[in-house]
Formats: sequence, C-alpha cells, structure tokens
Amino acid sequence: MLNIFKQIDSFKERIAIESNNKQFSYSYLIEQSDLIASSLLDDKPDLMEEKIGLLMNPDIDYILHFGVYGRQGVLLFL
Amino acid sequence: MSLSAKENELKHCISDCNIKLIISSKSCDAKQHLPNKEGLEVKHLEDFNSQVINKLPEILPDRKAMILYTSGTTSKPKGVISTHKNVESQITALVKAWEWTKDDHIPLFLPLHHIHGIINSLSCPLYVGAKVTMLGSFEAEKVCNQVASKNFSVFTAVPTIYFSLIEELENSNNKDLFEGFKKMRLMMSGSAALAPEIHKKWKELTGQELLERYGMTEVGMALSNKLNGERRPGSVGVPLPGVEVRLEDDNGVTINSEGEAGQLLIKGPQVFQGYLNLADKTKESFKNGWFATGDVVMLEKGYYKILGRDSVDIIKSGGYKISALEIEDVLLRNPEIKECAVVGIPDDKWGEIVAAAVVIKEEIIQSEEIQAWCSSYLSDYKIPRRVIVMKNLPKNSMGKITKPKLKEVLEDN
Repeated sequence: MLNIFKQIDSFKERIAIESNNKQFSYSYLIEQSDLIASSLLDDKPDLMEEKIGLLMNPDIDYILHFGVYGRQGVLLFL
Repeated sequence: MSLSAKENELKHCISDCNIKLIISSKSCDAKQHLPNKEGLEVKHLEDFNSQVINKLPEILPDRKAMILYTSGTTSKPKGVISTHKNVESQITALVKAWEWTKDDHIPLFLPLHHIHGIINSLSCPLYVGAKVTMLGSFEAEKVCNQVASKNFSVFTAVPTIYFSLIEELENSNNKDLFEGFKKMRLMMSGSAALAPEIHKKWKELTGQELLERYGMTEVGMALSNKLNGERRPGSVGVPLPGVEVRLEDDNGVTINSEGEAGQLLIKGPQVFQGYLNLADKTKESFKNGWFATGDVVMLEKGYYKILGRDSVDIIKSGGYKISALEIEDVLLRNPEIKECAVVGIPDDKWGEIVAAAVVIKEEIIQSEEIQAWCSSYLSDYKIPRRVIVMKNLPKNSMGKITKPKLKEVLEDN
C-alpha cells in the first residue's frame, strides 16, 4: 500500500472536507470511497488499470477518486 | 476537461481514452454536454449501493493512476498519464517544501481536472490530515466571505484570481477580510506568470508576499520560491525536493552559467509516464531520460526565472528573442490597464512582431499612448507594434489566457 493511503488511515476522526456547510471526517471519506470502489470492482480482484472518467461538481462527491485509486483503476479527470 | 467543457471538447478526451464508464452525479449539469457514444455508460454516484467493502488490493507504484489533459493553451490537449509513484512523489515534494501539517486549512475553488487543483489544493492537505473547504468554482465575493469568516492558513490561486481579489479588496473596508488574508501562513500563485506588479499590489493590500512556483501537468510542481527565505517577484525559485533540473541551449548543450537563457529539462520520480496514444510525442519530449518542458528559463542570482513558453511567450523578431512576460509586466504597471497579454504575430520583414491585447479599467486609452508608455521602459524592438483594446481576454477554465486564440484575433486586426 502506498503511503498516501496509509497516511489517510491515520487521522480518521479529523475533519477532511467541508462542503455545502457540512463537514466530513476522514473515516467517512475512506468508507464511502471504499464502498464505491467495491461496487466498481464487482467480482474482480482489482480494476486492472481500467480507465474511469470522473465528471462531477467539485464537492464531497470527489471522495470517489480515492476509492478508484485504491482499487487500481486509472482516473480520467473530466 | 472542465465542467464548462463543450461536447466536442469532451468528445476528444473520451475518444482518446476509449473510455467505457463515466461516473457523475445527479446534480452535475455538465453531463448534458457528454457526447452520445456507443458503449459509453454514465453512472450516477447516487446509484452505487454496495454495502460490503471488499479487500483492498495492493497498489503497485508503477501502475497507472491518473490521466489529466494538458490545458491546451499551446496545442491540442494531450492526455498525461501519471503512475501512483508519480502522484505520490508530486504530493510529498510539496508537503516537505511548503511544510503542510494537519493543522492547515485551505479553501478550494480551482478546477480539479488540473494539477494545481487536484494535487496542490486537494491531495496535499488530505495527505497530512488537514482540512479542505470546497467552494465550487471561483467567485470573488464568495471566496472573500469565506476568508473573512474562517481561519484559513494556506491559499493557492492563479494570477487572474489575484486580479479579481485585488479589485474586491480595493473596494472593501471589511477588516475581517483583510485580517483573514493577513494571518495566513502561506499564499501562493502559479499556473501562469504572475506580473511583479501584482505581487507588489498584493503585498501592499495584505502584507503577504506571494510564493510563486512552477509546474506542469507532466511533472507536477518542479520549482518553487522558498517558504522560509526569499520570495522573489518574477522568479520561480529553486528545484523542489527530489527534482533535478538543467538548462540546455538551442544546440542541446547544457548551460552552466547564470544569465543565459535555455530550455528547462526535468528529471525525477514525479515525471509522468507518457502521453496517451502519442508514443512519438512522448519519445520526442524526453532527452536521455530528461523531460524537455518547452519553457525557456534563466538562472539569475540562484533563482530560476521563466522567460516564457517557447511556442507562445518567446517572440522571435528581427533576430531578437523577446520575452512576452517582460512586456506584460510593463503594461500592467500602467494604472489604466487591468489585464493584458502579449504575443508574436507573423510578419514578412521581422519574422514576428510584438502585439498586445489590453483590457482597460475606465479611462479611454489609445494604442499610441500604450506604445508611448512602453517606450519609457523598454528598448524599441520590444515595443508592441500592434495594440488592441478588448473587453475580455480569451481564457481557459483555469483562467489562463489562451494565447493561440489571441494570436488569431491580433492577426486579423
């Protein structure tokens, strides 16, 4: 596991994102991105560098991209 | 691509990547511009309903992680492929150089499909456990309200944003706003050259010395003024941790002396893997393992100074190589000029001539007056031969002036 994921694991209870007057902790960010990535994986062991486009408003939805990185997908930032 | 991208722009990226899945959200209006393409699935974030978290696979550093498209300010956007190792190296270099800590708090209003937004503004703070306040796209009033009411410690933006904020501050007497900027520990500018005049105005208004740095989609950030040391206006400082740089002249010979301009070449773990579907372009961009940036740079008293992008900012006129950025700085010293851009346009006699487009504040100003202003500060061969006044300059979603478009306008005038 790369340090980027280890690092995030170590401050779970801290506030990571403030968006639209709501606050989201690192643990929320990790959990949601892992759930999304798990959906993407289906039964595959990893995403095998599958390219996935991301077209989103710059708000909490962007947590997704950590999940895709973490599952060996390649993100195209649209 | 930007959320404001049009169908043809999105089509280019989607076809180039041969992408099968796009993840969006129900509230994202930009979806309407997605092209109809057979086999392309658009899935909403709200429709992901997995309740089980699978085991996380091991991440291999050399596997591909991210594709960002170049801004296309000089040519058609190219897909830049970065590996996990590249991304992590880009982040850790900045965390170290700019001393990011978990106590930092940054407002984020830059687009996330650019390196400045996704690495500098979002990934660095998240890497250390800091807080990010996401504000959507930049609106001067909204950002100012947030600065006045929150305790931000770090702020990063592009020069055009500082232009807008200066206007806001000049018309404001909100003490909390001034205090909000004053108390930050670090304010930075990048993604385009910051005119020394703007650096000076910002310092007068807020007491903050902007830290300028240099980066590219292909390498992340490469050079930076020092956090604890001199922040020299018009310079981009020294190599960041882990970054090797060298300059090369037109004949490919390494430049070792100060004061001589040459192309900047970069090496290090943060340098990208290659351009998507452009093997030849990738090959010609590397020289013995060094990435050739295409930017012309000079070392001056230990700090690097960007003279411009070889293709658009270096004007070749009558045997001279003229930096457009130097002329832009002179134009911006004129109190009637709000914004400007200088390019070279083809000329039979001179090869290229210097041409300028300006946006003025209120007073009507004639092109002859602008030329006279320049002649007080510049050698004759640097004075713009063609000057036009525009309402707005053409820009991309980062607020970066698209000089090829401007060249077309100036050529037609």
